[in-house]
Amino acid sequence: MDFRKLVFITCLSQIAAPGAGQEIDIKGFYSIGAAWLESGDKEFYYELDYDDKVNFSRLTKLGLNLNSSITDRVTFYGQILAQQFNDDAVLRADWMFLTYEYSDQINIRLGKIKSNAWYASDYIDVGKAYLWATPPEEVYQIFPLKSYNGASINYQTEIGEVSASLEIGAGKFLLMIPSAGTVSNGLRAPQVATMNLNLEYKNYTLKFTYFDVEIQNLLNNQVIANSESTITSIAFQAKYDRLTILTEYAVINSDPEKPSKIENAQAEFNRTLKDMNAASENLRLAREEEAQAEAALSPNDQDSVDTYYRAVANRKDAEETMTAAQRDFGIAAAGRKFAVSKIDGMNAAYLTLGYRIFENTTPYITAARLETPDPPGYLGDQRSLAIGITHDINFNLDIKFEAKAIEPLHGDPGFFRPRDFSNQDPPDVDRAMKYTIVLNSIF
Amino acid sequence: MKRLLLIIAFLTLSLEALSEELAVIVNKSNPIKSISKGDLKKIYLGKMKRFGSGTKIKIADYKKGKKLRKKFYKKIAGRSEKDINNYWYRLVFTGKSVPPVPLDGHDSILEFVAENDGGIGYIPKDKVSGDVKSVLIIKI
Repeated sequence: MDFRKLVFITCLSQIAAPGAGQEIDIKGFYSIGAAWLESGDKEFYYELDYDDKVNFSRLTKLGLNLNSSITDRVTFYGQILAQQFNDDAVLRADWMFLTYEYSDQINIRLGKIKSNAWYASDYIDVGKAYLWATPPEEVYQIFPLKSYNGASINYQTEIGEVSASLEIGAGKFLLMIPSAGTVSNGLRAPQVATMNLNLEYKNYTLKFTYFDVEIQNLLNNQVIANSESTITSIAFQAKYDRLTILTEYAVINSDPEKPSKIENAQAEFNRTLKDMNAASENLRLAREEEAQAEAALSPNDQDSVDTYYRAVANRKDAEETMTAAQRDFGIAAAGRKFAVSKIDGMNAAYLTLGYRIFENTTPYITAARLETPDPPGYLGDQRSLAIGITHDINFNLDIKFEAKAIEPLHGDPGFFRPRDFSNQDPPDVDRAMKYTIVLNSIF
Repeated sequence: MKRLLLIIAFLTLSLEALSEELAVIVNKSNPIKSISKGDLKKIYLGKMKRFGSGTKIKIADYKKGKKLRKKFYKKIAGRSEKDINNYWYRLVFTGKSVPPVPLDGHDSILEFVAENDGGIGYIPKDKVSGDVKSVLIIKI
């Protein structure tokens, strides 16, 4: 059984055990959202999820949040998130930890802790909690570390009218991206260290975060790239009556001396290319057989009918094999490309202005940009301008709409990638519009 | 001029009379005799989790949308109800704190505070009963 599932079930059984005498407080949230893209019919945006058809992927999610006092000073906190990814729903323990309250000022957490890399990263799935329809991906999607397994110590205090909180954490992280084919990719961070400082004064908030992460990119469980990276971000929010200003800047610095294991990526590239060529040849033969069987088809000859249907089935199998082989090759090729790409100096920023009109409606505008070093890897330079509106239907429900103009820069792919996995050419997108509508609720 | 001053004084007194008084109440077994506005703010923002005696605080609150709740948070934290709601969403959905218990009305809050050693709530001053202890009066 998966270790995380085991921990989850153990925690649940502990807090739900008869006689434990502890109450479980359950809260939750959900979002039902859709996005679509206008960029011609060739390209996908954002890890294949958005294209020119209305897509509920990623934006449709359900979260259940649990807490239970285990002792007077120890509390269990957990959050389970079910999220739509393409045609599948993914259920995962978003975070799950025990908090020991040493005092009002100091507490210690142990378990799977949500990453706090950016201003809104630790509550990024809770759409009701922020202004945007979707947080600007230029900042919030450049680094995939969403949580880590480890411990953190948290300190909070008041200095005059300033509330200050400091979080220092350490742990490790593993993310394997599920794959239907023979190639899986993922990310391992055997060492994560993080520091987060939050200062609040009246209606102003300043947040500074720092991550130090050793990252290993994996292709079929083999390391293809090593890096020692730091991620630094600084965010500021101010509220003046009806006006909200929020800005954030993040930069990734990476040790360029860490050698990539290009040979591992190349081996997978060669293997999947060979498999794809073989699948292509099989498909060609299957199509030929089908054509011959169709030509020989006679309604009065049962053998010819059987032969024809067998040929059709073989051709369909060969097509499925070909699709899977193309996908595997695409992943391997992307891995090879990633192994030689650079992330040192990648930086991103956004500025959001929101102004509440009437009682419950807030239009906003967000300008964002992402700069990547050359050669671009998974992401490339882009800038965007989004105009959106948030309307609170009631205290627990809001609806948000956003129109975002996206422009990849300097011939880079931005967040785009070709629809055809095996196509390694740079995406051909000058400008695209992304539309998002999402209903968010807390219960 | 005298008449004008009288009118201003009258209006000021009338407005004063219109403002409500809220009593912050705690369980009768709680040894504290009073609570500062600063501590009250910390409690309702989830920053203070224990009384001086070490008892874990259990916060009672009105459900969202109640007028008293809006006025209370504006008074003690200077924030709108929407801001407070978002503030708590962030604490709750990141596992940083347990939210106040939302209750229907004065009676429910009285009952909650009377039943929980670490209970704290706020109700109109004239609703306070002998089952709880009033530790602060605030005008809203």
